[in-house]
Amino acid sequence: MHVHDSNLNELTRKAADLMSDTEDVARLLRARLGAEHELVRSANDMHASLESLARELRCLCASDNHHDDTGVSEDT
Amino acid sequence: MTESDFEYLFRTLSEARSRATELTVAVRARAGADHRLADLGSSAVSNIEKLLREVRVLALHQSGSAKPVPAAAPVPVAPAIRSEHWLQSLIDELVAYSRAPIDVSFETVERLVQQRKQAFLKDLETARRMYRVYPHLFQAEGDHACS
Repeated sequence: MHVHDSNLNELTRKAADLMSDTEDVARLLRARLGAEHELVRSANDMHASLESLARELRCLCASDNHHDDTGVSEDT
Repeated sequence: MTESDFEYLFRTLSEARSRATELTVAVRARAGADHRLADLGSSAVSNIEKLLREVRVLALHQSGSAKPVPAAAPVPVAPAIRSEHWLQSLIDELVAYSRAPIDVSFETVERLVQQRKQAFLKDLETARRMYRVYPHLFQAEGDHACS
């Protein structure tokens, strides 16, 4: 799907920022509770889901920019 | 886990929940509710909320096994629990929807209110338990608010 939005870069940046700003949560929980604790697994799940969101947005953004560069559009 | 750890976790996860919700609404508006990105966003919000709930439960359990804090503690402890009003959260989400290039129906708003109500009732139950076991933190927050 080609998402027509000039703010896609902004959304991608926000997702990356969110992922970065929550990185220390898992680190703190691991240091305090140990790697096997249930909360650490939940924190890892949270981080993984944010990472997936950021990655998908990045891919979509790159695809969007590629379409713009090559002049290809799914509308055509 | 120290009280400052809990304070950091509550603050960071609450902010992350708001930001992820706003991001998900924006993504859904642009890519469509059926797009994989919308699912990823919803999943991220759910995971943040789940972790936030688990951290609250841990705070309760830890307080149950901890020794009572002395009345004359040498260093005043910063409040670990920040109040986050459901209305502000709802308004943030509605504003995010209103900025999105999609039509917002009454049904959508009703669904959002219902979700907030359920989350509020769950949080209220947890907060009541926390008040019983962490009374000094609520006292500190009240003093801070008055000053």
